[in-house]
Amino acid sequence: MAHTLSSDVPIVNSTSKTISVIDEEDYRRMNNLALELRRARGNLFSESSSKERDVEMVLRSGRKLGSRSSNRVACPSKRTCLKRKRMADCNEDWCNRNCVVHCYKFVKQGSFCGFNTLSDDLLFHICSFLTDFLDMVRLRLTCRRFREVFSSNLLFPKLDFGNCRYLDDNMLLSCFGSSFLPFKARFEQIILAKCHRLSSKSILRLFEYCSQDSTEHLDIRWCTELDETITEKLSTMVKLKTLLMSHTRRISAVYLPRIFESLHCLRVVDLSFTYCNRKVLFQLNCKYLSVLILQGITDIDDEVMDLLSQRLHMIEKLDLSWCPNVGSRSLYSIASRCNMLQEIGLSETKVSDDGLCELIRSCPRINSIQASRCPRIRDSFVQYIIDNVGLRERLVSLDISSCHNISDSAVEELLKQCRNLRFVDVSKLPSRKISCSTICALRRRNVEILF
Amino acid sequence: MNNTSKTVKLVSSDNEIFEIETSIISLSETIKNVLEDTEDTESIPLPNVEGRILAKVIEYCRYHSLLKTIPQSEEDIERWDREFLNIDQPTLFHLILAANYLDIKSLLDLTCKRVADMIKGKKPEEIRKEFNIVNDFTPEEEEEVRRENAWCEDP
Repeated sequence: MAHTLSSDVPIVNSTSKTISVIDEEDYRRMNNLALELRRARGNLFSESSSKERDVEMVLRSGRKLGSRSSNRVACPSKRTCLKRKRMADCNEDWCNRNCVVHCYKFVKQGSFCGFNTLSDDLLFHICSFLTDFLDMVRLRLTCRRFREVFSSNLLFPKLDFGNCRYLDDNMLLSCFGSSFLPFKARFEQIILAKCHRLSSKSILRLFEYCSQDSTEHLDIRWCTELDETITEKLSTMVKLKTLLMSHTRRISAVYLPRIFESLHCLRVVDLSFTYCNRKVLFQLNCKYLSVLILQGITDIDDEVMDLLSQRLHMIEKLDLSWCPNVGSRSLYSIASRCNMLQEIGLSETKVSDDGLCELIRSCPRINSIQASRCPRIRDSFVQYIIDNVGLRERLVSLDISSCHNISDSAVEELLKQCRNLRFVDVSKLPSRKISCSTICALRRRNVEILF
Repeated sequence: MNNTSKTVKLVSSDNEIFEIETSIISLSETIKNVLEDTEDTESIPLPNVEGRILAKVIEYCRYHSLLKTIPQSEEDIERWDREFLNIDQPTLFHLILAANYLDIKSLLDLTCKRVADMIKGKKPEEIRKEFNIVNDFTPEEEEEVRRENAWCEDP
């Protein structure tokens, strides 16, 4: 019975459910007690203040307290009292002492301006700057007011366990497994990257605890223990905009398509080094997709890219590095359809000069090209960049390391011409010879250069 | 309209009068609205803001409206803001209330962020101490709280 009377149920304006527990006499007494206390507090205010302004201020504070009086006036240990049914000595002293002390503080300071007196709106505003979920939990544990204010369905910006490599099932379950947290939290971002000790079991428990209807960002990269039991849950997170799940290699190709059946808002997807295949890619809803990272997927070839590119209208970043079956024909398909493209990753693929040149010609926004270890790229590509005035000015990041068929002189000319480069990797084994003056000039412009 | 040199008088709760250019105080949406609604307003009473707080608010507005004409580096602005917030707690909370009342979003965000920074990484007991919060839990609740507390205290 005591359980139904949670500490948050106000006694004075209690629901019928609560009244049924105590008899009428007790209820009347309790009301009297409440009135008395309220009066006592009023007296205190009017006696201790002399100046007119103070009176006004105090009255205002009195109103403020009064608005929450239902909670304050009722005896804080009412649960025990109700059990014993002895209202007369129900910690009346405690109430008196505390209320008086509380009010006295307000009066003494002259102005009652503190953290605890801010309005709920302002409290929420302050807490919107708390990025860590745990800070909010700790704040809730300081006093009753905060416990009440932050009590239900809170929306936190993020739950970040990224890089907690030692976080294991037991630790996560001790956070979210027990039922002590009385509110259901919602997280906009859930980051569990590189928590490679976590198993599906504890993550499912976490998802159960926080409602997923507001999660927009889920990062489970390198959670290598995750298996296919999680796919069903993932498919229900319909608001997901970002899903990063590279290196989750225990989820087999059979289960992967299932995830994408009902995720229609996806904007960023990372499926690198998973068992992703063409079936998964065709299940993927690409309507809003702007970033697609598909590193190391052997099933992608020119034919798949041809079909996929037809649906990637909004794509801005596409990474096909370490997809050994991607060749220049893929680039022709992308060039003809994905005009919004800004960044492309093609490291260790079979692409060659003509494909890349075609891509550059058709995508007027491209500013980042990662194409290391592509033996088929030659000087003519570098020359094309130099000749293309728009691209030369636009290019911010370029990686042509270990492209053995690009000559030193072409690279040097490129470095001189591209004035807006921020990052450039032109290293080559065994060595590439670039003059000191070129490197110094780049360093002076704060360009990050690897050579 | 000769907006550039037009001034308005702001009257604080303790009857201090501040004369200030309308272009500067227009950072406050509340005052901007008043000025737009009523022509030729000479003075605006602000019964919710004390003089010393209003002085702070004006100091903030003056600097941040100056930035529109003389741009400064992010670092300089950050340093100025930090210096500006080097104040005691009651002033800080008064400033929050004033920013809220005068509807100056950037100042409200700045001050609220400062409070949030004061909360970050602290234990409940430390938060209470920092903000003078009275622990009004009953012994039973306290026990419950302690139980809830156990996990978020451990790293």
